Amino acid sequence: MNLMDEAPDAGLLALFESPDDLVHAIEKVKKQRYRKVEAYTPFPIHEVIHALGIKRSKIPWGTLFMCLLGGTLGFGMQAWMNGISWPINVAGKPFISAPAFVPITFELTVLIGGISTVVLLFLMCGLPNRHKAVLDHRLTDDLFGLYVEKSDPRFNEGELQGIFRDCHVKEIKNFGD
Amino acid sequence: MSTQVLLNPLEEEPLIAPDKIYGDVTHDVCKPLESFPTKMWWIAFLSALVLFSFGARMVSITIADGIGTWGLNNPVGWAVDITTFVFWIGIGHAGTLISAILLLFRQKWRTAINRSAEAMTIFAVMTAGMFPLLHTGRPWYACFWLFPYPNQRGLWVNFKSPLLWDVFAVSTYLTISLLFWYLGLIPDIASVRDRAKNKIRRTIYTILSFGWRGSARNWNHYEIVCLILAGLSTPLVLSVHTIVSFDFAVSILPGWHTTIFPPYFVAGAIFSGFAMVVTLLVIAREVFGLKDYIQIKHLENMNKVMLLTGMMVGYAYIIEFFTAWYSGNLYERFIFINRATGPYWWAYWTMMTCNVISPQIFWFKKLRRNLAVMFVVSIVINIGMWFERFVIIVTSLHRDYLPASWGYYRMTIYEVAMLVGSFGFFFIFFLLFCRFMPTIAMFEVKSIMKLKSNEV
Repeated sequence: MNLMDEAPDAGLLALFESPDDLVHAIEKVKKQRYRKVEAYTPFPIHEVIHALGIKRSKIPWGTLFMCLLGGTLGFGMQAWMNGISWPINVAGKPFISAPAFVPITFELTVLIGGISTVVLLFLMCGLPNRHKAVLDHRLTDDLFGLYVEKSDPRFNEGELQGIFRDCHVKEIKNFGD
Repeated sequence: MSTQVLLNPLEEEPLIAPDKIYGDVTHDVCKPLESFPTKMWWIAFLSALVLFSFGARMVSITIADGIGTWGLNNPVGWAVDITTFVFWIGIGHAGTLISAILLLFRQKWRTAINRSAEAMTIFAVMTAGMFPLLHTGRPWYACFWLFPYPNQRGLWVNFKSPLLWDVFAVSTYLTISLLFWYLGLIPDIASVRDRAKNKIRRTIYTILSFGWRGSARNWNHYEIVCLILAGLSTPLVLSVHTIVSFDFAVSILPGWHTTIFPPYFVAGAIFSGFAMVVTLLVIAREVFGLKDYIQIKHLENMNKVMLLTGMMVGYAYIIEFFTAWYSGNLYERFIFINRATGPYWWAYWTMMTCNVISPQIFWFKKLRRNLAVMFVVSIVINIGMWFERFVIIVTSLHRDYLPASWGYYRMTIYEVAMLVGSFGFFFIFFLLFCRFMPTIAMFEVKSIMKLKSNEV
């Protein structure tokens, strides 16, 4: 089985030892109006996400919708099954007894909302990722990487190397021709 | 380090040993996963296996012969099975509290302990789930009785029953906790994958990590999803034990029929869960050499939570007694006086001593920072919390309205085996988890580290 072994798109990877250096490098690269820029970090860093100009995730809207749907379906299921399809008289309560349906309505709100949130995350992040290779094994350990693709119209290797060196780069890796 | 703390009491105590750098975290946490298990691990694992086999053998007899093998009798139709179910569900609450509520409150100290606490939650809920299934007598039919599915008779489950609410509450709790826990594991499994030297190992961890690469765009979504799941889990934690308490509170039995049950059960659940986390972490930090990450400060904070929730539980014990007396309801009053002085006085006073008195020693800073003391107290608290459920369930049942039908319940060896076996079952999973998964949320610990180079 060969997983995660596809060669990455041609580009230049700079590896930094400190997140601050990475942020500075991103700011400089962005100033030169590079577009195809991505950062790889071992843990989430807000400054990095901010410097790259990534917009706030839209996933919460999906969660909200699915929670409302889950709650509605949850209540509807109970009302239909116990009130319409086969009405059951339990201690003289109404067939559709809203207070008694609250716990399961709540649980299904959370259940359906939660599962869909994770499904949305997988869709948005392209997981499971079977092909794209890891650019460097230390990126999930202690190094912070900046990747600029060569297909970027403004790609200029000399300029980038200069920027990276200014930001105390530890290592530069060249992918593709 | 400790002298430094004493010199300046206002300075915040570090959560990680101060000389650590990012690479050390990965190295230290992954080390136990990358070497052959230690002798300590094998001893623990084999002991758990023995306990579990004993339980499994006895449970197989129970399944073959029926639950007549248990000590249940006419007034006491619910006993150790449901007691242990509530006990294990309660244990689970600490994990979700640490991972969800403390995340929302931005408590940084949660990072070193949340992973193992969440794992504990999942295994505890799995363990708990077995008891109601076994109590049905024919567990292989249970899924047909418990879940609404279209069937030939067109008949549905009864949604007005608290027992069914429980089914939904517990299965939602398990699912969401599992998602939350596994989601947190993905970046760390990716770290383990990228350290793997051998191909089979790398393939396995690649599959388990879903090919996570840690790009900034992915982290952006990831962080918000963790926050959402925390937001969803927070009311869920409070709801699960609330709904478990409805099993009792919605009935009209004296001793069960009280409105104080939901908050009282939730406080008790957090109390027992934290005690279990302390028991496990005191052992795990020794065995896996994680003292630099799970510091005394973490354990001390958990002891403080135990002190607080212990007093909430104590308050509930006293106020329900008071209410029973003040209500003027003779049956209610009788049940409570009977609890303290009747045939089960020993269970009641075990509960009171373990849960109300023993945590009080955490008022003393020296004692709540002492490993031996907290280890013993955490076990004592869990014994007490098991007895709490036993007292609530059995003492309310054994003497009902009609003195002619009063009885006494005794555990049989089958029930003892089931209780003991449940610990074996739980520990097997927990030990396997410690062996194959990073027990500390590495990426979260790295994100709260203050490196010298960053401070300049």
